[in-house]
Amino acid sequence: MRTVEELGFQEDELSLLETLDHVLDRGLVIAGEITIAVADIDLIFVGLNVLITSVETAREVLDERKKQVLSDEF
Amino acid sequence: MTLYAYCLSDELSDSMLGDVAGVGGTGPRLLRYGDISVAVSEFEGERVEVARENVFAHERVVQYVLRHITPLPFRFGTLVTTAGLEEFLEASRARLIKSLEHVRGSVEMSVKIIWDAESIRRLGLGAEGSASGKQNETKLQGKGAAYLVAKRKRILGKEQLKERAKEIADWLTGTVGGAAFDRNVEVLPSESLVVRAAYLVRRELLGDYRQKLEAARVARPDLRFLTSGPWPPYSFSIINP
Repeated sequence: MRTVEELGFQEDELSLLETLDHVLDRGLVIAGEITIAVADIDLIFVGLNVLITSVETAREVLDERKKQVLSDEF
Repeated sequence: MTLYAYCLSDELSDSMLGDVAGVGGTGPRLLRYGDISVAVSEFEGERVEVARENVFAHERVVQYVLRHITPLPFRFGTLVTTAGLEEFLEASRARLIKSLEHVRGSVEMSVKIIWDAESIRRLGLGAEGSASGKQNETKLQGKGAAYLVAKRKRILGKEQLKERAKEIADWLTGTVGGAAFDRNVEVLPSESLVVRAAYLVRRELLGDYRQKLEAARVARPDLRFLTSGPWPPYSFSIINP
């Protein structure tokens, strides 16, 4: 069995990634009530591309928000 | 007032929240709506930053509850007003009760399997590239033909990856699935990730599940396994309207 270090990342990073993977795109949703902001998320994911889905989810939400802000402004 | 919502259950009590600090540092409390209680905390601001401390604070609260019972967790970043929460519970009560019954006494266990997609693709395309494939290539001349051949190879490669990933997903579920009573399995969600699986396992069967998983690891040393849990049932807490 490989250790997390052999897989190329630190244990606390893996723990954060796994947690993000669970909490960002699963769980109960109240329509329109997810209000997250993504900041410095790339720092967390440096060197990792296997669990990219969470980042993509976060970015999609952020992009949608930006579009919404822009359309509100104009 | 804005509330941050963590999880809900028909078995929640104040003692199950402990002294755990929630998102933004505020301790969680319960809001009761008939037979369903919701763990919430006051939140200042309009949005929740996806930052390490917030993600772990969310999960800390839900995990603390999970020690006692199995709640339905809210997705990270759920901010709601008391009126909005009430409306949600009223509209979803029957489905929530059904979901709570479904997950009661269970936990979610996660398995991810990673492979080297490029090696698999090369292996898969070996035959294609060596025999009839090469003959066809020599017959086909010009940029257009080369483009079509390359495109065909890409498509074949993707199909082969999917096929192999499906085989591995079926094998995994056949091996560990017996210890679980529900599952949510995604095949090839990204090229490197062969399987992203969540199994709902009764607490008393966790030992059995772990043994089966260990046997799976031993049987396939060519694959990389990322396993985690117990989790609150995030993958089994999706309430469709």
